[in-house]
Amino acid sequence: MAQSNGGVSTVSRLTLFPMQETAGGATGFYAFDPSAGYDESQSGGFYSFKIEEVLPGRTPTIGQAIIKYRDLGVAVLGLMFTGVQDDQQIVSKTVMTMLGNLVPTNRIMTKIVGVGFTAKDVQLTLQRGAGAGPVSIVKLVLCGRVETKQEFS
Amino acid sequence: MAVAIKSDGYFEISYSGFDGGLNVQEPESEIDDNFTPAASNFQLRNKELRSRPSFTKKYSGPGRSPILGVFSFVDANSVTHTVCWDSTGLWQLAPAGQPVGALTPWTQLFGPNPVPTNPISYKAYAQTLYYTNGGSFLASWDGISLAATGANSGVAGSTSIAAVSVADAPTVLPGSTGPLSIGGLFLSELDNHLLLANVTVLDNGAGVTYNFPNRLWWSANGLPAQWDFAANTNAGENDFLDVPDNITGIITTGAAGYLFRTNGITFFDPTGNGLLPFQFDHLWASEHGIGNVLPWSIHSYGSVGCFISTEQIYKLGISSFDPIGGKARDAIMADLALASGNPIAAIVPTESRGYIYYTYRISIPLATFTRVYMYDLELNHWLPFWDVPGLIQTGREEEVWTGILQALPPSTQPPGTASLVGTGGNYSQYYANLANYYLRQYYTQVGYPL
Repeated sequence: MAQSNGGVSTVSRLTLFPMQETAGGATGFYAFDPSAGYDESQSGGFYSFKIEEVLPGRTPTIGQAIIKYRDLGVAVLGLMFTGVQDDQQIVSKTVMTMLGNLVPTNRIMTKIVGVGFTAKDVQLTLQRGAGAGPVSIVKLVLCGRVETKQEFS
Repeated sequence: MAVAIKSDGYFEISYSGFDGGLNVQEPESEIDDNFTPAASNFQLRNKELRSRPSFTKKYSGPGRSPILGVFSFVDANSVTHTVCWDSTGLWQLAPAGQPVGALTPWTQLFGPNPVPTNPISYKAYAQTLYYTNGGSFLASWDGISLAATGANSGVAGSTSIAAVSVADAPTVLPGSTGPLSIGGLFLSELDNHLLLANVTVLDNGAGVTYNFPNRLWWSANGLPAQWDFAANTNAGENDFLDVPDNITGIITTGAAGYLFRTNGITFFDPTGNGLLPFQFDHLWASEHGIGNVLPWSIHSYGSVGCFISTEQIYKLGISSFDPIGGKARDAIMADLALASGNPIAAIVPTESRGYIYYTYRISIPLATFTRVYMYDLELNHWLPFWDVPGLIQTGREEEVWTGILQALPPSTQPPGTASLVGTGGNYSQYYANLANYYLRQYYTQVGYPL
């Protein structure tokens, strides 16, 4: 039989996405490539949690956040809290924190972050900027206090 | 889960076991703790909430026209080829004489010019690659010859592997002069028959093109170049004139096939009868019903197939037919309504060798970027990815061989695996190094030669 025309070795396999740039029209093949790590350098990301009532009608204060994470390297993570005041205005506060080590250990670690945010209907959104490092959250605990006595007349 | 509040007002809200995914169909305050009302570029990896892998450019494309698909197949010499298509034809990755991994290692293999706006439909059959994409051609490349071909050596003057001679053309297509060149929007295979669906026929003699959007045309059993049912009655065609819509996709699961229309699905399976090799049963054939509304949303992996209907996203298997849009459905449908190009979907088991992410992903071009909704077929949740700004997906993603040896870094692997000292379990390289360090210290203290 005749010899094959070219070919590739079967030692490496990737899921390739055929893409085209909107500016200029250059084409290329891209991949969500885990060998390049979890630090997307051109796109940030976010993840919102549910809106927490805590206790109906009361105004809780989030004192701190306890982040249990896997150390995949240094990452900067934003914790954006939003909530609502009694005058129906939305308020927010963002706390930045740094996770991980320069040489990733792949170990699970804990970071405690001071917050100090008071509002009703609190919602946490994790924000990761483009190129801000790899993030992998195992568990996240918000600690705070709320008035348990009757507030209404 | 209700928040636990102590008598002094202290409370804790705990989030873990991330496996719910996107939920846009309940109020943000009423969703379960493991869901998210909004997210982008995070994945739920082994119940960890993780930033997604980097979306990295691996190769430049062969030219400046949109890439219509990419695929790997094995030829008769057991050599694997990775190919892609654009509007100028077929290209091969890392051909002989070029280094593997070169920036633009594509060599043109020519063949018929595909329709520039349709993703390619392809099939490897008997160590040969076959493809079409809505034009009046079925082309092939065997991995050995220097170029792809759209010619049928048994039918003079044809421009498609699927062809009918001048002598038989008036019988096969009344009023035509022939030779006929046959193509389709979709290509598949069942029981050793190649299948063309949503058919286009070019009467080469008269220069007239005929469209049969509700026709399925199959080759003779084991003869992928024989489509002329006047010459071989095992080839044939079926026009679904009793249904009100066009064919929008086809999948086969080895034992049977599903032919999708906008408002319906037709099941078909082999009969063993040479004259009528398939029997067809409309699952429903009403004016309105569940069908595949986006031609390139349909894809299969083994016995599992997924597609998008007007009102839902479905997964079908040999004995099941399940809605999977779940609590993310409305977000996906809203983005599909805004698509600036062809939404394309695929079932992909891995992102790279050794990194499993078994997902049905819907890529939606949105003017200046592509949003990818990932459905985890093992954990049954959706999460949206937003790839790099300024990039539009133009063809179906596919798991292909690239010929470049890669080693996954430790962060991509479960702890304790993929290393020489790994236990295959929860014992990480970190601890192994630590243990080794203390052992060496001990041996040094006691004077043991290292």
